[in-house]
Amino acid sequence: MQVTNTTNLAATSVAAPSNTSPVQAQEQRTRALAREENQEQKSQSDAKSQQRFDVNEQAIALIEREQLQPYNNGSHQQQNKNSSDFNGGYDAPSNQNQSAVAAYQSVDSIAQRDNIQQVFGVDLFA
Amino acid sequence: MPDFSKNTSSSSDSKKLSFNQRYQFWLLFIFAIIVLQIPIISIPFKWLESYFHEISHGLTAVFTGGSIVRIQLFPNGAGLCTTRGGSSFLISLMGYGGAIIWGGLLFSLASVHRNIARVFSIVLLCLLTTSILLWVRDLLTLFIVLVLVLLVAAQLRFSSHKALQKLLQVTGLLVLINSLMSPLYLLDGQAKGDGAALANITLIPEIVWVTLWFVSALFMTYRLSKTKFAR
Repeated sequence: MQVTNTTNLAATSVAAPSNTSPVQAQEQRTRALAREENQEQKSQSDAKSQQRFDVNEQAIALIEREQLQPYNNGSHQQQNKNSSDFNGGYDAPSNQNQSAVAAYQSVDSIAQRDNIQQVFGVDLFA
Repeated sequence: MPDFSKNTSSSSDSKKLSFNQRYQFWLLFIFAIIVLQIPIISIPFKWLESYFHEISHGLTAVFTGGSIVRIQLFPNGAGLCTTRGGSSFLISLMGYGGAIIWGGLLFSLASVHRNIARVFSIVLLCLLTTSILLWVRDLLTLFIVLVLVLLVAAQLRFSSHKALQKLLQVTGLLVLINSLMSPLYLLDGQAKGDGAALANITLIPEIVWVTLWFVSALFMTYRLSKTKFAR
């Protein structure tokens, strides 16, 4: 009797060779299982590396953008103006702190926020 | 013939007084819950709880060797405290924990003596003013903290000693009730906030921390209910 279900590789490889010896059948089954495990591990590692690469790439792009144009957009100018108006500039927060908060608030992703916290060395508690 | 009616009236007054004294905490507690249901009136008290939450993060950072970079408050009761250095575990833990302690402290000190209630109001004013000078960096937070300054200043300026005592007790309970409910908002499945931060640090699930804060607030409420009120 042949098993016709092709989706289950392990089941077909065990059931198909009905005229082979038990040792050969055992070897074939072991090979099939090993091949299947290799494929799964490869696909998982590919997915992980792809995800990690994406997050890092986005974080690096954000940081580069913040470093190159720290106060070019309107909200930053407004914020800077406000703080200068009220504090007279003498106790304004450092550029690094302002960049950290601005970069942190510009993203919603928790992973990206973690990266920014690590890069700028500040912690944010909500 | 003895006048029994006078004795009966006196006995009734004594019973009434004893009822008020015995259940004074729970009467104030119910009053505080009612105040929290009033739309406009309840808002500053939510801000006050949020302020106590964020300043607790910040002060813990300072006490553990770090510093406060910035404090932000938002109209919906949310807040953000940016710190540098210090113990991340304690800073995360003391947000909700600190608000519970502030609420309890406010109620307890106001209950000890009228003069202590006055002194604590002045200390609170100093803390709010210091926050404005050192850690508030945006207009919205400035507005919210100024409202809190006016709230405390008005309590201090326009209340008699006894009324100030009661107002501070109610304020303490309002902060405590907010602290009791706030951690429950973390159970939204989004893994954000102090509970998620503590879960990341300790690998203990967020629900454990939320339960810890909730039970702490309940315990504080129970302890305060046993308070002996000064007259």
